[in-house]
Formats: sequence, C-alpha cells, structure tokens
Amino acid sequence: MVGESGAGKSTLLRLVAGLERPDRGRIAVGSRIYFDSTTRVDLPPWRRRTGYVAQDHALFPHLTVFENVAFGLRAAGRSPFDILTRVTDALVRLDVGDLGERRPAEISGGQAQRVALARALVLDPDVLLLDEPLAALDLRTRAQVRGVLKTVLATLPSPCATLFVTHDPLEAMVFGDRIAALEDGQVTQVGPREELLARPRSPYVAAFLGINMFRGRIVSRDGGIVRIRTAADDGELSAVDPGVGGADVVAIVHPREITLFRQAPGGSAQNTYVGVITELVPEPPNGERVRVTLGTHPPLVAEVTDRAVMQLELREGLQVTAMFKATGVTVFR
Amino acid sequence: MWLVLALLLQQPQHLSVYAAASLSDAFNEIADSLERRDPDLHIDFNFAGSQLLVLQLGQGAAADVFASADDRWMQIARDSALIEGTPQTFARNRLVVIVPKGNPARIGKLQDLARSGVKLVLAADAVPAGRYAREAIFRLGWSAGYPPDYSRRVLANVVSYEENVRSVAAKVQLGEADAGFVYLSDVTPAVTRQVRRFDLPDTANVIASYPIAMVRHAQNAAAAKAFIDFVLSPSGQAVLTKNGFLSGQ
Amino acid sequence: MKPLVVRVALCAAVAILLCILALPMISLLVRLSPGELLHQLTQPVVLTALGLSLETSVATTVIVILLGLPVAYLLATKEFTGKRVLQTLVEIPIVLPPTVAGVGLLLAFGRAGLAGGALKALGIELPFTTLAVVVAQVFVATPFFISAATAGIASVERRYTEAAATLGATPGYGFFRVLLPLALPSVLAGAAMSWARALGEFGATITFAGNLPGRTQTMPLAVYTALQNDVSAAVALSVLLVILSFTILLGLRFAPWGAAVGGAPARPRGR
Repeated sequence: MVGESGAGKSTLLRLVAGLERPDRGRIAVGSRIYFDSTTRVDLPPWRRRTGYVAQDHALFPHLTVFENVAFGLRAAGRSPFDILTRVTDALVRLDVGDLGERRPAEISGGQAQRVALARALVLDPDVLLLDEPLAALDLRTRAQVRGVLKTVLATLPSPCATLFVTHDPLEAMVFGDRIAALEDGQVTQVGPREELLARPRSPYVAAFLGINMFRGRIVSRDGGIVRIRTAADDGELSAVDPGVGGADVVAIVHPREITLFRQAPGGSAQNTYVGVITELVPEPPNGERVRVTLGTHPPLVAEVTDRAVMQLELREGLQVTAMFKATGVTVFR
Repeated sequence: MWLVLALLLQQPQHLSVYAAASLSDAFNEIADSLERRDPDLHIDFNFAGSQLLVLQLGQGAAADVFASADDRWMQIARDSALIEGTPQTFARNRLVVIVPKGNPARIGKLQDLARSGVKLVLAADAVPAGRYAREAIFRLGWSAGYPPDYSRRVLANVVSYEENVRSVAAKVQLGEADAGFVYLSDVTPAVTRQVRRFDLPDTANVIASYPIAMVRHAQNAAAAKAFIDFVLSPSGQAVLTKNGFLSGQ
Repeated sequence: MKPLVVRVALCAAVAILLCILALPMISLLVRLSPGELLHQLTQPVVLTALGLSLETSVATTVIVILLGLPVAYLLATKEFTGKRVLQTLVEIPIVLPPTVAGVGLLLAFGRAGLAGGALKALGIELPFTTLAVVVAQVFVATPFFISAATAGIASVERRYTEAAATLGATPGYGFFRVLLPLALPSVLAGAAMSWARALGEFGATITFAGNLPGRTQTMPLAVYTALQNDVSAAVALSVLLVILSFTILLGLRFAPWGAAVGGAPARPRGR
C-alpha cells in the first residue's frame, strides 16, 4: 500500500490489527471475519491472528531479544521446548541468531526491526502488517534489511498475506505483488504492478510509477493533431486527435516513448523539449533500464537502457533534448 | 484591681495564658468579661494537657500566666524556675464517670466497670486527669462493696489512653467508648445531652487542685496580675462554679 | 539574570532547605548518647511500639498496593464520566488534617458511625483495634501511592501495550507482563512513599484507633506519650524512628530495579 503521509496507510493497518475501530464496515482476512458493523462482530486485537510490526519496532525494553520473540508464544501457553525451537528458528531466519541474550537497547535499528519481524512471524499469523518497516533506517541499513526481508517473505514456511505500507514507491515496486494506492483515505487503484504501469488511474499513481500523466485541455486542432495545454500550465503536448468530445482530457506518455539526445536533432517528432537531468535511477531488479527525470516543461520521466546512458554519457545536471512522437501520447477522457 | 486595669487602658495589651484543657470553657468566659471591660486587652489561650504546657514553657514558650490541672506539674514548673511568685489554688475539680446516653455496655453502677468487655477510656498517665482516674479506681477497689480484684479488672478494660481529658469526653460522647473518667467540669451542657453521669463516692474521689501562677519573664506582668486577681475574685469564682468547678478554698 | 546571581540564589535555596530539613534530625541525634539509645531499644514499650509500627505499616502498604493498582490503572488508561471526581476524591486525604481524617473515620466506621451497624453485623468493631490503625494508615497513605503509580503507568508508551495486544496478549496478561514491569520504578517509589507516610501517621491513628500500648500505640504515638513524661526517652524513640525510615528509604534507592525508584526509567545504553 502506497500513499503520501496522512493518506491513511497506518490507520488502515491499525484497523486491521484491531487497534482502532471503524465506524462502519467489514474487515475480513480470508474467511475469518474480524469486524462487521452489520452483524456486530468486533474481535479484539489479541484474538485476531495478525502480525503487526510498527515503524519503530516497539520491542519490549525490559525483555531480552529472545524473550521478546517468545512473548506471543508464552502468552499462548506453548511448551518451553516448543518456544525454544520456534524462537531460535525465527531468529536464525532473520539473521539475528546470535543476539538472543541482548536487550533492545543494545542492538542496532536494523537488527531491532528484524527482531520485531521475527516476533510477529513466529506466531504464524494470518496476515502480516508491516508499517513502513524500512522508514526508520538509514539508507545503507535499509538496503540490507530490504534484502533479508524479501528473502524471508518469499521463503515463509507457511506463507501468509502481507500488507506492506510504504510511502516509497520503489519499495512498493520491489515488494508488491499487488499494489494499492491510497490517497486521502480512498483507494484510488489496486492491482498487479503491471496493471498500474499500463493504466494508472491518478496522477499520484502515475507519478510514483514514473509515468508521465497529465490532465489538460485541448487548446487547438490542426489536421488530426491537437495541442494540449497541461492543467498545471507548465507546458504543451502534441497528440493525435481523440475525436469528438470535451476539451478536458488526460494525456499519458510512456517513458519508453521518449528518446534522449545530447543535441536537438532534426526529425518528425512533434514533441521536443529541452531540459536538465535532475535524477538518474537504475530500475530494479538489475538496473538494465534507467529512469531519467527531466526538468522540462512539463516535467518528464524517460526510460532508457543503461547502454544508452553510457553511450550518451548521461549524468545528473546535464542538459539534454527529449523527443517523442504525437502518436506516442495516449489521450483519453 | 480595677485601678490596675484603668492604668492599662492606654495601650493595646496582649496577654498569653497557658491553661489546662479542662479550663477552656470557664477561662473563655472570663476572657470575654475582661475584654469587654477593657477593649484594648487581647487574651490568647493555649489549652492543652498540663504536661504538654510545662514542656512548652520549658522550651521557652512565651506565656504570661500558667494554670495547671494539678499541683504536681505546677511544682515541676516551679522547680524548673518557670514560675514567678507563689502559685495559688483557684479552683478544684472532682472526677465523674460518664457513659454514652444509649449506654451500650449497660453500666448501672460503678462496679459494672469491671465487667469484661467494657471499653473504658482514660486520659494518659502524664495528664493529671489520667493520674487521678487511676487513683480513684484504686480507691474504689479498696472501698466496701467492691470486689478485691476490681482495680485490676477495670484497668484491663482500658482501650485507649488519650492525650487530654477532653478527648476522653469526646470518645464517650460519640458513643465509641463505653465509659470514661472525666472532670465534673468537662460535663458541659453540650456534653450532658449525650451522656449519663455517675458520681464517685467522696471517699474514693480525688479532688484535683488547680493552681495558677504568673510565668517568669512574662511580657505583660501587669495584665497577668490583673488576670490572676480576677480569677481569684468572687466574679471569677462565680464563672468557675457555673462551669462545674468547686471553689478554690 | 547574571550567571553568578543565579548560582548564588541556587546555593542559598539549597542551603536553607537543607537546614530546615536536616537540623531537626541532627539536633535529635546530638542530644542522645548511643548508650541511652541502646537502653531504650531494650525497653518493652519501645519494642512493642516498634513492632506494631512495622506490622501495621507493612500491612498498610500491601493493602494500598492491592487496592491502588487497579485504580491507578483505570485513571491512567481509561476515560470515563466522573474520572475527575475520582481523581480528586483520591487526593483528598492529602489535604485533610490527619485529626480531621480521624474524626471522619470515627463518624464513618465507629461503632456509632454510619457504617457501624453494617460492620457490627459482620462481627467487626473497629475503634481501639489494631485493624483500625491499619485503616487510618491506609486512608492517609493511599493518595501517595495512587498518584505515583498513575503517573508511572500513564508514562508507559502505548505502542508497547499495543504490540503486546497484537501478539495475542489479553489486557490482563499485557498488564502484568508489559505495563507493570515498565511502570515498576514509579509504582515502587509510590509504595515507598506510602509506607513512609503510614509509618509516620499520628493524628488519624490516635483519634480513630486510640492509644494503647501493644494494640494501637505505634511509634509516633509512643513518642508523643513519652514526650510528656521523659523527654530523653522521647528523643531516643524519635531517633529510632528517623534511623529506621532513613535506612529503608535510602536502601530502596540502591535496589536493582531502582536505579530508577523515584526517577526516569533506566537509560538505554548507546548504540
């Protein structure tokens, strides 16, 4: 689940975990109903089988790492042997196996986050709720934990649904089998990664997916080609006439349609923009393709191969020319 | 005495009197009379157990007059050089036994005080009233008509030793104690309404003597003398008698 | 303000307060020879009073904790109508003069009191008993425990109890395994203060329970009674009381949980 701060992501997780109660609605995981305002069902948090990992791990400061992870098992009355094997297993899987006797204050942020994960996972929850698990970590630790997390989630002994909340679109793309975009308390789009990429339904989604999507008005027509001025009034595009209909349209330019040049070439592309490269980001998983953010009017994101980057010697701060054909613009109302 | 008062009429006068707790009603009345006749006179009282007053005087408390509930504490005050001149007995008091109006322990006569389970309250031994009460109990035990182990059994019935005699009266009034030994003067009109009184036979009773004296280094010797003189005068004695005390002579 | 002025003012304040607090105790100690103190320690009256004081104050503390923890938990974590009334009610014993408290207790639980009949039916007559001493102490000591415990429980961050709940802990399990351990320093500090207050209680005790050696004469009452007969005996008893209280309160500050008694939770060691 991706969204800006204040969109409601954390609240949603808390609702599923049972830490907050909705006014109306229904919360179910699979066939288990956690909350239903029409049938007056409202399971308290300790009866829902959710594994909740908060942004700041919330490890109990007065217990050791081992005792922290064992907490839920102890509360459930499991046998000491059961507890020992499960906890040790979880700690090893999360790569914190040798920290068992330490206290939370004595371990690093990244280690603490992994311990918190172990604590939740060891209970075989129905659903795992991760609230921006990497947000509190510095960049380097974030990369490390991201790797461990991805492996762990992929290799769970009993796979469980995971609700991963983040404000970082990159994380969403890395972790998300399905991605939901949350804007102002509403889910504006939910679907597999590819669907979002192909048909983004809101500027926000498009923006974080790195797709160029603009709302605008048709300002002139000329022989099958229309000029569209962006609603943000920061530029104009040439596109194929969509035919009969109102002047308000949505225009999408897929980053792959954009070609970059060091100098303006001649040619038939009607859309030519000159601007400075503000960001160069290799795309996951292997960086074979690279996203290039341009400070043009309107701002554009292009996607090129890493070979192109090398050949053109692209770097941040470099002024380039971006071009795409009018047929490369998808227009709809 | 009126002459002295007249002389004092010029400036605001402050008088500090330390007196035994049982004297509170009587002395307050006396103070009212004196203050009415001389509006410049302000009298402050410290009413407490005589033992506590002597302790405070010994630590340097500033008082002008000391009125004790027994000769023993006055003597101790004299021996500690806290007193000026010779103390004079201005009142006497005798003990009575009171029980709550409802009489929860069904006390019909003094012999009943020895019955097991009776909750008896006395003043502590250091308080004159307490000491007198113990004496009275022993004397009763020696009297005809009382069993030989009377005093032992009565004293075994004591559930509390209060720090002043008014507290004893209060516990009986409230109905928490079954019986208590207090001074006749402590059975004020307010108290009478809530208790029944048993008088002690004269042979067993202990008559308490109340001496009064001026404190050494009194701030206001003149007013102190005036106060003492009034207490000893017929008017003062009338107030004391009205409040249940016996006359000083 | 100039730094020097501030410094001087601070030192002056500390010095004055120390004088007011320490001088009375030092004066007591100076007045007494160790021989006299030892002699007093062997007096049956003293030992009885000491034993009674310890018995009753410990019983009081246990009762205050058992009854006070639920109330503190309620006040710290829940909102409900009448909460402010409850908070004020719990604080009243602090502002009430102890003797007034004693009279109130008498009028409420005395034989002739409001609840006297009900107690009598259960076979209990409170005034003049050791139990009454405990009741009087509980009355005056409770607010100290509850305010400290409430603050301590309230200061435990919600994320811990929430985490516990999501891990399957019922509120009860979460209270004993997470909330209480994290609030323990404040709870124990409150218990210590409450015990100290109970130990020193005089006015309510003598009014409600009375003054009888062996049954209701606690140390403070013994001191007051002795004062009127034998000042040096009173001083000896006072010194005993001061040494006892000081030792126990100081000892509590060194206990393992209490790097924290009366203070913030133990600082986490740096990463």
